[in-house]
Amino acid sequence: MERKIKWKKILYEDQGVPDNFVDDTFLEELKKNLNTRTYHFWPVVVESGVVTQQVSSICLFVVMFRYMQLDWLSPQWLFAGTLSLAVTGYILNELVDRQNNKTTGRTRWDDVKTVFIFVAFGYGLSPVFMTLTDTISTDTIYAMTAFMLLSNLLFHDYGADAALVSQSLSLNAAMFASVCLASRLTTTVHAFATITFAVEMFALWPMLRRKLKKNVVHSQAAMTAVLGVSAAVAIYTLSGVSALLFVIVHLFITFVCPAWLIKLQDYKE
Amino acid sequence: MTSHQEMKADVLKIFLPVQCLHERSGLLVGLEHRKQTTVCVTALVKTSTYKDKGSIDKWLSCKTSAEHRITVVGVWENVISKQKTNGYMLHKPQLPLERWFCLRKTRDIPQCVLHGAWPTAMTTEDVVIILYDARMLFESYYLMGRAMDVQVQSGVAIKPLTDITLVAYSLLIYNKLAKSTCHFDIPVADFVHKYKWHRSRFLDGAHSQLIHVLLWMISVISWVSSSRLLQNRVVQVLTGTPAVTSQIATTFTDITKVLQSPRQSHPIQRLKCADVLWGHFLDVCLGLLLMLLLLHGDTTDRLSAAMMTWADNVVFELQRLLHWMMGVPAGLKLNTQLDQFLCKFFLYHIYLWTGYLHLLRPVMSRTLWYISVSGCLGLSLQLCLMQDLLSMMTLHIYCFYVYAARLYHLQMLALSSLWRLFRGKKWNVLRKRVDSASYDVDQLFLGTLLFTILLFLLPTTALYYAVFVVLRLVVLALQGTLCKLVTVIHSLPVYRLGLQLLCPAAITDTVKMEVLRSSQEVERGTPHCLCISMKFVPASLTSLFNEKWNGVDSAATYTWSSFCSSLLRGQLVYPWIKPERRWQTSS
Repeated sequence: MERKIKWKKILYEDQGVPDNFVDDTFLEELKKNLNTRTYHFWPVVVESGVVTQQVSSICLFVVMFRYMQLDWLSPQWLFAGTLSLAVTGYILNELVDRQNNKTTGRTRWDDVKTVFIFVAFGYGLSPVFMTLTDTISTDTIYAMTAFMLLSNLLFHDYGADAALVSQSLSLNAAMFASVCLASRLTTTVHAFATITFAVEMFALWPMLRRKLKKNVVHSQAAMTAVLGVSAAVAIYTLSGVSALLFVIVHLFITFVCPAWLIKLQDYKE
Repeated sequence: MTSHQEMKADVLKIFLPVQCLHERSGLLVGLEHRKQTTVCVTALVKTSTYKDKGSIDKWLSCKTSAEHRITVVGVWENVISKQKTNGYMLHKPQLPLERWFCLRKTRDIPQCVLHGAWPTAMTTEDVVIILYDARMLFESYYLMGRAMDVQVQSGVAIKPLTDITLVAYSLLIYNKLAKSTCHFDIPVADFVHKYKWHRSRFLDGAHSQLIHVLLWMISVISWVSSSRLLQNRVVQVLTGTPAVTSQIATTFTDITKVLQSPRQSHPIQRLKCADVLWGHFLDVCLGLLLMLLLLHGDTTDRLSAAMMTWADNVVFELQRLLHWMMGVPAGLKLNTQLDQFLCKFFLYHIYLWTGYLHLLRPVMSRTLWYISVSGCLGLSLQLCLMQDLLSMMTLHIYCFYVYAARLYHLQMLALSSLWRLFRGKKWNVLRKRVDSASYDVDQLFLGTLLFTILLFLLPTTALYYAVFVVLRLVVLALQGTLCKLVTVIHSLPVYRLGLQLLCPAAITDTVKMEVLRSSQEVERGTPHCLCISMKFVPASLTSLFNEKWNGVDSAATYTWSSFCSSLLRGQLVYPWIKPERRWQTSS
């Protein structure tokens, strides 16, 4: 028998069908994937730079430590480099702020105070760092450092809004690792240089990177390229295999992972 | 009246003193508790007739209070008594009362006949005769104490009483009557009156002068101790810390409590007071014994020499321990610099300590002599003095412990708050929970540096702390043993134990019921009432100790878990210095 009346999704009227009857129109109103974002390949490649930049920073830091340990780099030179980079970064920061007419609420005096805290405590405590882990074996220290740097990588704020992200935890882990490494070096100046470099690499540099990425066009790709290349070169001077591994990981993160993401996007539907 | 009859009046309980069984016939005098259908016979008037009713009534009505009144409740007939019995009693006795009963002893157990207006359905078979020993009941501190606690309102007890309390209460009322009416010439077979509470009157009579002097002294001491100088916080801490002063304060408080207690107070209160006084007496006896032992020959000299040798040995062993810790003890990863620093610090402290010991050496023997002489004031005082002497001898261990504990505690506090900073959290004081917080870069930098340093220095501090905590615990165990001994001496219920051995009736606590059967079977078919004998059971030794020690244990300042947790957190532990016990007077 052909139904004349259109079937309605209600139970309070007798429509001549059993209660558990399901019509073809039953799922018509179902909505799926309302908030889906469609990703495109190249933007994702550029965005993946935030991860590779952090990986490159960590690698650079470890390489600088290794240089100092091998006496290829004197701590004075490292400190000079750190200082010049910091000044450059500070000027860049100011320029970006000036360009956007944005004031951060920090006065020059605040900046001077922060610098003073970094330098004074870093320098004052470096004799303590020197002897802190004398009796602990080097392997233990390296294992702790690796663990802490990995947690830095894991908890770093890449711009994702997740519960796992903790800016302070990642910075603290990196500082802990830098103290561990500093205690393996021979003089107090070495320890001081390591600490300052770590502060620049893990505290100041990510802040500047975030600002540049937001405000300067194409800066993201440039920074990724510069950091990646310099890290690769630095590692190559120590070990070719490591450099190759680093490049492979880099390429994997930059190109394979985005392609993978784009491909997997079809499964959302 | 009718309402009483309609109540559940199923059984009439008659409490009869067992002494009555050997008396001649007469009138039973006692207290009737209508509400609980219980009659407590308290005395027997040895009169053969009721003709001198006037004088008996006059005697009974002397007690003119609103409480229960002693009345004539029935007749006692002793048939097998060899005495010449009056004809009136043997044939149909009649009392001009509303209701009464006749107890007739024909063979060995009495039988009951009810007369007058008892509840309608009640027959002889509904009567239970309970024989109790009036003398033993009257002697018992606990039972009479319970009877004294009974609160009466317009002739009725506020709370329903247990039977045994009811009997004790009746006896109490009767005793009041008998005391106030000694001048009446009534031939009473009184089962309790001649047994006074002579044991509990330890404060009466000739001692009153001495007590006045003592009370005056106590008031003087209280006045002095309540002065501003002694109420000062510093002075209170100074006097409260040594075991001796707190011991003296406790003794003082005990004795004050005893002397200031009202004389005609509660029997249980008297019992407690007697316990305290006898406890102190035993204390002094033991102290004298120890004093004699110590003063015999040159015991004190040898003892002091042994103690000084022991102290020197301790110093030597401590130095060895510190030198061992300066190396790599047990393969621990210590921070060399901090380890060296701490070790030198403690070694210097030991050096100071040896100087102190040299000062102590000449006076040691003398001190021991004084301690032994203080036995006149009791063993507990001697023990407390020894405890203090031990504290003095091991002052260096205590100092080490305090330094190490403070350092460790501080480090643990800093580490716990820096660990929160490390994770980007902070402790919210207002909400008492951990909240997430945003820190500046320089704060994080500084916090992490300090956290790293403290974390790597923790094993060194913790090792020193652990070693000195163990030393401290050894000393504490010794002191604790002495302290526990003092507590045991103080809480020993000496008087009660003596009563338990010499006169168990005085500390009767509970009763046991036993059904009495006639040796010659009562003829079948004739109605007879149930006869029960009430036996008193003295309080057992364990119950005495439990009663005394329940209060002692509740005063403990630490539980095991809290003790361990404060050890772990590095807080200072003083297990038995109770803050509330510091020099309290006359409160």
